Amino acid sequence: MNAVRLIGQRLAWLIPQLIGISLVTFCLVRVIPANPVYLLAGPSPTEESIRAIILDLGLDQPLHLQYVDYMGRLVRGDLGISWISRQPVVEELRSRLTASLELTVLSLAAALALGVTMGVASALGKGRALDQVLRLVTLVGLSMPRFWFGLLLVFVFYYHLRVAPPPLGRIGLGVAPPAHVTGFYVVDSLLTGNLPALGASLAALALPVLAMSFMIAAPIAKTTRAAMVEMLSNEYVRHARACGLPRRQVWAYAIRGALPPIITMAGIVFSTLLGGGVLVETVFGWPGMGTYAVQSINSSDYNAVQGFVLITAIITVAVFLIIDLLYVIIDPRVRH
Amino acid sequence: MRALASGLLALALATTASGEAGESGTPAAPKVLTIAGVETPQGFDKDFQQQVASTEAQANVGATLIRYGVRTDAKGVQLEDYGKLLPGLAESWTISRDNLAHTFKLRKGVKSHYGNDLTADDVKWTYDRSFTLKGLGVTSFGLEPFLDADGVKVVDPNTVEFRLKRPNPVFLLVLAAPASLIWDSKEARKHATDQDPWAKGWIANNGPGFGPYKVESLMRGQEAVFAAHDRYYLGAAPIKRVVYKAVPASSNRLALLETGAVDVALELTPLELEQAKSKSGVKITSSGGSRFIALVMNQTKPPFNNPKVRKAMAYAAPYDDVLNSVYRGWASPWRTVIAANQLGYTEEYWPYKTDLGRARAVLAEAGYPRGFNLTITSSVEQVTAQEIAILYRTNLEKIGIRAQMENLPAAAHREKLFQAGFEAIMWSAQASVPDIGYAMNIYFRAASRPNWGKFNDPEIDKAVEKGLSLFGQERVEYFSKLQKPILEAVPWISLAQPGYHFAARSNIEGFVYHNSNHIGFAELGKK
Repeated sequence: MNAVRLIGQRLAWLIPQLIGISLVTFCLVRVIPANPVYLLAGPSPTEESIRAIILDLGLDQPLHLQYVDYMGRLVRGDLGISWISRQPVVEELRSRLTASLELTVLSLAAALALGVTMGVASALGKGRALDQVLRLVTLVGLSMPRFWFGLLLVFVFYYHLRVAPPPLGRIGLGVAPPAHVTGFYVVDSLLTGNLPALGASLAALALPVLAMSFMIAAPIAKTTRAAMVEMLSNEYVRHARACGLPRRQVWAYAIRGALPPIITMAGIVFSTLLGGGVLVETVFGWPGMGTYAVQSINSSDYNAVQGFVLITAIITVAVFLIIDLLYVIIDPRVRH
Repeated sequence: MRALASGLLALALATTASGEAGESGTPAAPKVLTIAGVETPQGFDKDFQQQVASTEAQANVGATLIRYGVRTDAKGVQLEDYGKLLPGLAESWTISRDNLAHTFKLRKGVKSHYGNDLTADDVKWTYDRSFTLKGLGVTSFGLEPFLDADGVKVVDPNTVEFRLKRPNPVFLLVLAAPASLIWDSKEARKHATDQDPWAKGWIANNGPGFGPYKVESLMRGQEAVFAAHDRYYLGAAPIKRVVYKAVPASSNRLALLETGAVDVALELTPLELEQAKSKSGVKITSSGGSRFIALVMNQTKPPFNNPKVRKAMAYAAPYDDVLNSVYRGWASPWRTVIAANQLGYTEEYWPYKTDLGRARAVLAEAGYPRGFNLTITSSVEQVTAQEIAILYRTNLEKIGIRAQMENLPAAAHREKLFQAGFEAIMWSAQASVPDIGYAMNIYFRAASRPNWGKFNDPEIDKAVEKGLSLFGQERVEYFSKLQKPILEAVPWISLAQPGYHFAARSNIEGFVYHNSNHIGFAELGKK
């Protein structure tokens, strides 16, 4: 029941949050001294052509009317069109989002498996050789620049060893993407039984997932280790141990206790990566949200920037809602 | 960051240079050309989408009424010949004695990608659209003072007349530029809606032209695929399919080219070009090109409203260092104010060289013996411009000018340029019409918008205006001589011509350099 109330509360809060976010973004993009009109006007503009663009984009209207107009369309699920590509922002974001989600979800899953294992192993053997080695690996992972690691992977596995496909985005050369069902290439090729596309898209995912997950495994490992160390010295664990419970069971208790901070960390990492994976996206030619956002900001494509921020906000809120729901499941104290 | 990343990988690649590239890698199937570009086209609408990849695509899906001829330069590289115009969609044309009425006889049997016949209606619709929407198809050539929608008349289904309001000696050159392509109006009209009467959304995705390639698919940020148009009026192109991939990291574009995964890699850095050159299986064709890079100074206020200060800046510019350490030899010196590919280009009037002693003296003469503070603006997207600015700053400091750097996103950089909101700004461009008089008119006339620094010299203003009505060789000669007084007046600091470097597998042949810096897919062949 608690969970239902939680969801209800969050959803109720979502509306004012989104209005606030849309208003702030709307104003911010317009305050920055980077008027898109000049970029759109071409190499030898005239006063008339500049005027025509301003009218076309509706930028001649007072700010509050522009906002009312924007909100009016937003309510109908219309994020406007991108001024650069002349395509609906909703459609552009949809394809970018699925590309980003596919990469990020897989990376996060890999990172969780790796990070939690490393963190737990490290905590269990605290102070011993394995712990020192794993802490060093974590430190390297935390401090290595993400793009550099990505380039290194390309260099070693594509250029040198020739085992990875070329860094050309979501699917290799000469393989057609699977028929559109969900937009996730792996899922779609499974659903349509398209084996070549499945192989090609998995191969294309390998290096970017490796690059992204190694980097995010580090903070997860660090958090896991800290939480586990704390849990292992907790009274209930010491009590369980004193009662002579098998080691594995004691560890399981401790891990369960350590889960909340790990999940929170994973949630934060996930939301950041969705839009912030731009460096990995750039290295692997991945058509994700991050590069879209950077391009849109660079060219002051207002609708695209606003759409990006809004979608990212919604996803972030959703992720934190899921985290809270997981808390309810994991931690009995929250439930009662 | 991206540049650093590219640099690091290039370095890494360089250390392991060996003969392995060329023999291995997966060669693409015959007659398919794969290009590693920086980004995919944003769209195929010539009136709105003008990013490099977009114009490149438009030039290949579209065909123009007339075409530029082709000549071969001293190094054996083919490039456009602006002294020779060839029939395109129009098989012939006549110009009235007063140079106002231009009548084009359209070629018969020309089919669009959709199988529709070319008619005068297509030409009319294309121009109606550009004029109504104030699209780049007319604005980027400064056509509006010369022509309006009513001036484009359908004489009969195969004849169209452009009636100019006053003579425009570059009109034919304009009509041969890629952005003067003609749309298949029959097909486009089917996709017009009440909200979008000119089918902006549809044209952006489909580019319904009469050109050698039709759009097969476009996934923005990922790839664009083009298929040869079987019924292209000049004959179907030898390359049947072109796959244009977005590969944002330049080091990856190089790696893909070296391994043979792609046939062409665009926009490599000088370091990467240097490395690619030494690889077997890779061939680089360089042309002087239309692009140039300059430092533009704001002349609406002190200190740059003083020509002597600008002259001091010209003597302080690190010309050779820019060529050697920024471009590593992959650029040409720029010793004038128009681009190397234009008729009338000459270096003979160039009066400057890096001479800090002289710069200091001229600066003192100008009344600034102790220099001044200066902000140099550049765009975050132009890494070489930033590097040049840093070299420049070092020299300026030695003559007492204390410069700081400001790197802005593209749109912000552009706004500063437009609003003359800068003190000095790094600027890279190319003229959309390959004509010396056209370039001088837009860049050095006081009233012209693209005269970003607001250069204002009444003598030069008058001299440029006087030459604008000249035609042909007379025009070229007249404006060619004007390079001398313009250089003396220092409207900007000419720094370098980055050139165009076509980096391709060595079995790719037929490259022709175009003023608009696009690759004509139909001109290429694959052995």
